[in-house]
Amino acid sequence: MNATLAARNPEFLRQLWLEFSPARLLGMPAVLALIGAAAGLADPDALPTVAYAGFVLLVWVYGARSASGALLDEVAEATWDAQRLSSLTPWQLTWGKLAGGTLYAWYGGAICLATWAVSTLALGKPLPLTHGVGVVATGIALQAAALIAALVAAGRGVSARRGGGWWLVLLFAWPFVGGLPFESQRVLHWWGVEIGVSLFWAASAVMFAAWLVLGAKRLMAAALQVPQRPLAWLGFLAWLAVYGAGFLDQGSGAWRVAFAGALVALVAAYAALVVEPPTLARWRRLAAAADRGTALARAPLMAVALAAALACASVATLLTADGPTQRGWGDVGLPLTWALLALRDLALACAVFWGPRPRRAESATVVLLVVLNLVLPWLLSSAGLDTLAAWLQPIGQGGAGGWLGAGIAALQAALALVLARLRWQSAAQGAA
Amino acid sequence: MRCIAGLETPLAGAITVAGVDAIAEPRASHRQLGFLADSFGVYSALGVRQALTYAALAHGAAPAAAAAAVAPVAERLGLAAWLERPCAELSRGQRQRVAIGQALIHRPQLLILDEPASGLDPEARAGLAALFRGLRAEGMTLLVSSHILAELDEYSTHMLMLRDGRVVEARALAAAQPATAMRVLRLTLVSPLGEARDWLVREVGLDARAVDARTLELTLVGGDEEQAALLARLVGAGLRVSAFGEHRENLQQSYLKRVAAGGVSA
Repeated sequence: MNATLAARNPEFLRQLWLEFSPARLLGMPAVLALIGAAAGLADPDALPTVAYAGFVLLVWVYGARSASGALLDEVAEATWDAQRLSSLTPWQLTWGKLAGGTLYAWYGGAICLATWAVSTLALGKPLPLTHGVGVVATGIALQAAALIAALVAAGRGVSARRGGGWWLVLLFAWPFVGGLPFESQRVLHWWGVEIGVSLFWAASAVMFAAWLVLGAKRLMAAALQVPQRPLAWLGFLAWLAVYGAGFLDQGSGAWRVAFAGALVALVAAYAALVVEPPTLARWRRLAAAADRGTALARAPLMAVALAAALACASVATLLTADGPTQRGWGDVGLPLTWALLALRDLALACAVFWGPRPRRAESATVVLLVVLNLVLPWLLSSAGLDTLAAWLQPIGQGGAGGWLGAGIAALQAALALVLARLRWQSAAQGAA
Repeated sequence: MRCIAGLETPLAGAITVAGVDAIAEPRASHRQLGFLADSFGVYSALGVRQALTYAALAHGAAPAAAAAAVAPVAERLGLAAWLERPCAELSRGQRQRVAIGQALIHRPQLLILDEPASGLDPEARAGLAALFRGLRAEGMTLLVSSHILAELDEYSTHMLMLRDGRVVEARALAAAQPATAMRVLRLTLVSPLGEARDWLVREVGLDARAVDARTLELTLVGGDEEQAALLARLVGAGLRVSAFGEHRENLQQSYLKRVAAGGVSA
């Protein structure tokens, strides 16, 4: 037993025990050598491509599956509770699983990466370092995203056999599989600065990898019942706002950040509805924490994101004069209307979750939001009842828009909040 | 139990484990407790030594201390011969012992066990009871949840009866009471009771209740000396005693009595 490693991170040590046996240690290079030999004999020029494909398959695909399995295997073996009961910190468990669970994938990936570099140089081509950094960072990002998906799945009681949705994260990586963004010679403009596309994507991959690892640590802490303030979540939203605002080419800097901030926070609020469903128990714990004066440490991600969206939308509205000059995104009150409609939707979701049939709350919420936001406006509009449709959905073509739209959205949000409050009070009386 | 263990956050109230606020500092409280869940798990791919070492390290033990703790725990749990064997190759009883070993290897002050004997054969249950008595004697507090009440009689000192999340009854069991506390005695005569009950109430001043035609149940305040004196007095009074001794109510009887009294709806 390596004493330093054991003291620093027992979880990493355990993963090491599981991942590396003499047979596996020898098996990986042997298999890769056979594949490399076959590829080299068939077409020496194809060796870098084969090595690159091997890296993608091992680190991106197998690595993401391993990162997910590092947690979901615990759930399947009923050892997850024992691990949650240990005194390992959220950070120890996160990097223990992330680095330890994927160690074998990285072992093979390192061989592939070295083969890729050597064969590229042997062919007289320059070594694409930016490309290398990009694919490695993308691998870390995908593995962290897979661990996040597994943590969400475990928290929602999803069976380990269903895989925890680790493969879903690969959909995000699809545009990068060919490595084209990392090899592109084109340039793009971000915050008015001209940057090479390959450098930009590599830097983006590094930043996303860092945020996703931090996100995994944050969710791990939640799984371990460790109280935490939502600073990382707010930091991530702020970074996304600045990152996204760099692509907007109109309006002042402050307006662009506020506008992009409202957009990303709105998407995050809806995503949080899936990650942390607003169950009655969760919100009762929040109320109990509020009584103890520790509400911020138990603040639901959905509420934090929604508050950020409302704040950013308000700022964007106040800065409308700094926004784009032509009509469209720069419409007065549009970001605020979006945020208020999101408040309506999320309040309705709470009302459904706090209602008499909480077991079917998730599907009922999805149906309700689809009907309210898509089906009913479409139906009313098709029936020629445009005014009614505009009152129901005061954005988009035919919507009321402007301050009137924001007012209608505020009225709807207020009604939804009243409904949620009534459901909360009814549930409280039932519990008493 | 999951709230005490810090696996869930309670909706109300406070939990303190060995002086540590389990809600505010769950990870710190975990150093003070061990938990064996009903649906316990062990790492199938790890050897018994590795599983126990990992459990000790994960509870904050230094590497040298963790390695040193494995052999005594394995010895105590009868796992010494299986240390290098993968957990996947063990029987259910052996895996249960590994799980218990993982829960107590860091010498917690509080050991929480949820249905610890379920699925064990009678011999393994007896061994488990002996282990728990030993841990109790060493000063460890054990909190055991079980639906097999006869099993709890073997090692429990206190009973806590819950219904719908509320405490219905909480008291010390006979084994934990001092030798001079109130005790329930059963007196059986060779012939029918006749005037014996009235005589006991009138002359000795004891509360006596007829259990059947020849047996009385008495409540005596005192210890062995008082019990011996009472027996001498009964014989001296000419009662033909065929049996006389303390009657201890087991947990099953306590529970059923409580159910009959309406405190618990079965």
